[in-house]
Amino acid sequence: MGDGIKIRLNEKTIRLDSPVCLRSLLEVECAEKIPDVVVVNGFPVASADWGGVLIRDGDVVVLISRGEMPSDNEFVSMLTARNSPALQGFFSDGTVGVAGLGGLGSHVATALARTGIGALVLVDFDVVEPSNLNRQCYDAADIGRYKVDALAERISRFNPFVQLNLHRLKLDETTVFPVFSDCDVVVEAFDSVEAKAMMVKSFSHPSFRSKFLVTASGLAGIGSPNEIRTRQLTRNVFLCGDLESAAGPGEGLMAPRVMVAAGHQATVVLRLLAGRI
Amino acid sequence: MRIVLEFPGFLQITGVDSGGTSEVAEGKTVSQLLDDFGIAYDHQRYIIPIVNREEKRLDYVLQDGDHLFLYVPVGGG
Repeated sequence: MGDGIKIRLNEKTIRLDSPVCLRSLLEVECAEKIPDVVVVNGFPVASADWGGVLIRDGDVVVLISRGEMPSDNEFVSMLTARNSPALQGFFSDGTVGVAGLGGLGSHVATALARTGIGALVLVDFDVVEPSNLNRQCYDAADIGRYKVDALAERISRFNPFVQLNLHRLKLDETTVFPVFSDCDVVVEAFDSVEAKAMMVKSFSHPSFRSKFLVTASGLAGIGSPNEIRTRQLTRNVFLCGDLESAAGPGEGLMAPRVMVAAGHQATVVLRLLAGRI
Repeated sequence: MRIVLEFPGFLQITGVDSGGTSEVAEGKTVSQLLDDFGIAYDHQRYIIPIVNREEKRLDYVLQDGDHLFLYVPVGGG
């Protein structure tokens, strides 16, 4: 016999003396609670077949308790494996602000929380309206709730470990500074021109020069999503959008292009945190 | 002197292509340049001049070789 085998069990590498039958592995690894679902190399294995499946070197085994959130440690292991250890450290250490939780902000915050950002500062004064459901990350049960509360609850269902700092607040050129003082990067996700301009101008203020802003402009309609791109506006401000497509009569805001722009913004945040820009 | 000028199409600036080089008189401010393009002062206040990747005010005096991007946020989010 050689040095045994290595398998991946719930995204962690473990060593075994030799190939082992799945049932025997579960008896050792899950002595306290047998999992509801076992997935081997991507395929669910019925419990009746556990005795006939041999776990060999390099196999990937995932043990699932139905509807149960993994522990903090398991969740971090899973994120690290998925995102790569080199990147996850940057993401976990990051604090990101999201100004406005509408079409852009609700999707940006969701993407960042799924990626495992350490802390999110979420700011919005508004409540969910029926007309928001065409593009924003809420559902009918959220109608009438403050967006910060509805989104925080939604995020906690898939990542209860991200630290959330919630503000029911209409930001202005004064409050923007204390609210985002702890952030490495802030995402501008407002609807109005005036609010977008206020955010860009705030980030040339000396107290915010060491922080980054990711703003957006031009995402309405059904024009080609390839026209939405990211450009560097100033040393610390990045801009996502096609620069042209304003929301207005005949040029509505619809989920696909809004989500493309939100994806650009979230990606810029990750690249900034990882030092890739 | 010459500058590189970029702008969104809806500003409807004629006689120069966005991203192209423009001849500008010495001492001209961004606001004066916008006057030349027929952009009314009421509309100029929505424009954020970005010069060589720095936000400037409309009274910034343009310099030879500047890269001027006329950023105008549009609504929607």
